Amino acid sequence: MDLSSGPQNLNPTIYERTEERTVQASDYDNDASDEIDRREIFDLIRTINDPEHPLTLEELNVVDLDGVTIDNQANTVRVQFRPTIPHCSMATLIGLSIRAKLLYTLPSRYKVGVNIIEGAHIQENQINKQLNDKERVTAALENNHLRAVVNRCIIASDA
Amino acid sequence: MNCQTLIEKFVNDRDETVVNQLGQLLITKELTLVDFIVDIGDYLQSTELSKRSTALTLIGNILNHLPNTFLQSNEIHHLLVFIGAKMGDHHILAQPAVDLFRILAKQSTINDEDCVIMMKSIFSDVYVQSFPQASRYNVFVILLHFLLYRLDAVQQLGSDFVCNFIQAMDGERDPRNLVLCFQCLQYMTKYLDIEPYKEELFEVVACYFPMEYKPKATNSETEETITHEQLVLSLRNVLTSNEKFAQYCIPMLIEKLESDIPTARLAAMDVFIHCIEEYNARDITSYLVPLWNLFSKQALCAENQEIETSALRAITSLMQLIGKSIQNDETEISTKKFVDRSIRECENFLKELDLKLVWPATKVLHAVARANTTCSSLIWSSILPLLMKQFENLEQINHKRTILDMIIYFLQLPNIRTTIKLPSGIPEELWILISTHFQTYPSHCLSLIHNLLQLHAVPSQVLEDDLTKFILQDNIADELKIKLSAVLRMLASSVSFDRICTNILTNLIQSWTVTKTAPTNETLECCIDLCHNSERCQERLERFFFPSAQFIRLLPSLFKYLSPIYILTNLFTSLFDLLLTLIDHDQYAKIFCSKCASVANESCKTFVENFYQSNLFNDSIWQTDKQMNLLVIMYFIGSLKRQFFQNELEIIFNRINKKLLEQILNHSSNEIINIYCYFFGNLINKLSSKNEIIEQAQTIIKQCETSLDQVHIHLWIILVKALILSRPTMIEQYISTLILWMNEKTPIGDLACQSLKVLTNFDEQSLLLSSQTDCIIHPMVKQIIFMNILSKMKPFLTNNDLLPNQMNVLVDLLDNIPKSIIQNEIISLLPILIRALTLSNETVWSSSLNSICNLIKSEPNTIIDHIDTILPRLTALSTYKKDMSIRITSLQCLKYITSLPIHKLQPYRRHVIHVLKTCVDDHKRLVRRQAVDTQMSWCLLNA
Repeated sequence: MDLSSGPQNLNPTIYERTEERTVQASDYDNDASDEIDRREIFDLIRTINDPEHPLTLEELNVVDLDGVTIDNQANTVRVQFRPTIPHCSMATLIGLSIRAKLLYTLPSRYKVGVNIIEGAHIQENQINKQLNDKERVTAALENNHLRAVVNRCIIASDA
Repeated sequence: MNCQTLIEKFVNDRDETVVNQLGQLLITKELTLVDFIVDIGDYLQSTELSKRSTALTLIGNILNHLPNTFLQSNEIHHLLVFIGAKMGDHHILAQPAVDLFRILAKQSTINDEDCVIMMKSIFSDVYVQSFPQASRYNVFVILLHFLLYRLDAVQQLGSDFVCNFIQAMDGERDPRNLVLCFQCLQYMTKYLDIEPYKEELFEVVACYFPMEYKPKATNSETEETITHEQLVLSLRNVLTSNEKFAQYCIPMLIEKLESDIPTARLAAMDVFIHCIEEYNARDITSYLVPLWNLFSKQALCAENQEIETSALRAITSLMQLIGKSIQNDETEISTKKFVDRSIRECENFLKELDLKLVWPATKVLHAVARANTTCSSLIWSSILPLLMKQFENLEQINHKRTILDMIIYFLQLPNIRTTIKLPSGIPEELWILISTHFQTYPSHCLSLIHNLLQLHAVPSQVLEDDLTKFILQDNIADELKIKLSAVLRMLASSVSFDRICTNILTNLIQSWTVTKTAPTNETLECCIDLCHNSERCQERLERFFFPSAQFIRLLPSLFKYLSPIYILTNLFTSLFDLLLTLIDHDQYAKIFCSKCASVANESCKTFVENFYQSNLFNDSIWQTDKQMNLLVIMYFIGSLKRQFFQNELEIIFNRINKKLLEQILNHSSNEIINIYCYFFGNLINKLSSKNEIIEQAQTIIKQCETSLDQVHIHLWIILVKALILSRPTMIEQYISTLILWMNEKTPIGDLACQSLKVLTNFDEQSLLLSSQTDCIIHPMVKQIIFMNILSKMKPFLTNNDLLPNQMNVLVDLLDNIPKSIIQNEIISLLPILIRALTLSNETVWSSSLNSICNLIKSEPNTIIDHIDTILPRLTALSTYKKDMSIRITSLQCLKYITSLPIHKLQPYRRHVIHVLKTCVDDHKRLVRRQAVDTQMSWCLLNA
């Protein structure tokens, strides 16, 4: 992966951010229990920064609420994302960032799947295979250089 | 001891006391100046250099001791000639000589000729920059003094002074001296002819631009240091002080604006913004376009907010500068040409709503419009029609919203005070746009209406219907209510909108009179908004006066338009019955009573007198069925202004204090007792300027101490608080008693702890004992109370078996006191707070966690020593089942802790991350949100 060359998509379309989730009265009731829902997963990943632009994945429409599915019975989460251009070389890195963020922040009972939306990338199958191979993801995150890049993408989401 | 021996003592032994003694001799005329000089003559003429120097220093030190009126004009002259000669004698002598010059320059009797001699001597005999810093400083002090107070003498030297000054300051590097130099230069450019040397003068200053200076950290606080801002400001003042600098300054600014260093660009823009007062556009004609290009580039591609703001201000300044010069269509400098240029450059960006340059371009055009009326009408007449056309053609809703936002933004011109009219045709089109889209974009339309009204655009009839319809619909969102209220108040305030205001009001009133129902709260609120007019308020209010709880809540906002006597006789009296039903439970009713009384002044004396005579002094009022009347009366009387009703308050107090006390001690309801106590405290506080009242209060306090039960302790604490608020030092008498009670392991201990809370709680719940009701509140009362309590509680702090209630009080105290007061103390309290977390008493956890959280957030390093105790506790509390707020706060603490150095955290990291894994699976969403946040901070610790 060549990170040193300039950005590939020089002029991306920027989308509006969704509003913050409104807090309801029941959210303050300690006895009621709130299940983790799609919006919550989306909130976790929408603030991840794009590796190329000072924009979030949400602003670039790489992820949206419809791309997130969750099944609390089966404890599975599936995230589909859409690279801005079909030949985007950053697609794997974006996918890895999403995986890393979910790995750090989701309860361990969930099985997470990250995929590219069908037809959104020319190397779709290859990348999907890479992203959902547990061993390879762990190996990638143990690589110091790669981990620094991924961390940079997810660290700014705090600010 | 005679003069000779004293001088010898100084020269040989450096005995500094001599200076004082000789000074005294000169002041008491036991020694004349001539004799003194003759006596010291030998040393001044000595062949040894060090003796000559010491003698000069002695003269300087002695003269410094004398008042600046001591020397006669001829004495000054002789001294001056003599010292002038010494300047050329030897370079070592030049320094004490300059010291002496400084003293002589400040003598009030020095004449202009001598000033000239002194300046010539400084300029010709010595090379200033070869002096050490202190002497250079003295030289500049002398010159500044002359520029300030001896301008005539300086003007005799004319431009020679300028030339010589340039030589004297050229190469100066010390910040203290530079500030002085710049001050001198500011006066020189103002009062002296700088024409022959303007370029040299500019060069000698310009080499310091942009100012880069970091003050050294000083050890002692007394040592005066120059700040960066001081230097920047004084340099800027010189650069912008004279129009003659324009031709040199602007090219320099352009050069800096082209640089890559953001600070240099900011400094250049800052100077430009401030130079337009003095500079003329015709001096810099050829630079105007480059300046425009640079500024607009900065504004459009700003790296940060600061640069953007500066660039926009610079654009406004540029347009103002251009606007100042005489112009017509043919001249090269023309506002119109520049506005056209700006529109040409930015217009295209306005059309591409998906691109990021929409807003920067809007801001640039707005900055142009802000400059003056010509600019704004030129921008309006071309941009607004364009935007409106675009609005109609666009399809996406968020694009349409953006366009509306832009129109609203363009119509905001805060800096122009004079009335400017929108170009003809535009307001009409905007009104049409508003009425067609009011339903779809209510929020934007309301802002737009507000801005249009501000620009005095008279609305059409349609607006009345639109607004009426909008108000009468149910469920207006809160943010819209605020905007609506602003629009209505704007309509109400101006005479030109009188008709439309009356019509809307009529429509609204009809809405409930026709159906014979009660008006909704929203409608009533809008009606009240429409009354915000100093002349029409009463008339409009009377049309829909409708006693309701909502009315009582809203009315006080209109009090500023109404006369006090009207408020009392027409509003307070007519609402009295309603108040009786509400006063018990409705906070607004209490506030209403209090507000009514606080507007009362001299003119209401009779009303107030009748009021308390017929109500409060009537014995039947104390019966249980009249309790509500009594409450209304108390809130009313308790809020009367001391300024007007001091005597009346005293009469009331003397008349009812026994009855009131009796009621307090015998009443069954705790809440009512509480209010009675506060009323009692209120009266005592307001009358505390009278000693006999204080004595009475102290007697009652003593009586309370003899029979300790709940009521007595409560009365005790409120009376004590009433006294302390006006005289904080009285706390010392009472605090020990309270602490003593707190130490008892009986119910009295608990009661005393509760009482301490009353003392330290300054919230609104005690309306009757607050500045709102005109009580005497000492400005430092919070600090004094807290410091006293803390010093008395110190023994507790070291005591390991703190009672749970005492802990409770301490933690609560920390919650109540403003953080700035306790900054120094909180660190010593930290161990207690941490201990509170381990107590079995769960009630203190929450507040001590909050205190800890604030502390870690502001000063994380204070926690380092306690990290071993606090981290395990925080991790345990982050899974505390019973209370989610405790979980959230402890997770917050855990997050803030990550700002500590990593080697301190490393030992705990695995464990914390492990615990956080369970927190992100919490059953509450809000907890999970915080947990995720914290989890990320810990996971990315060394990222």
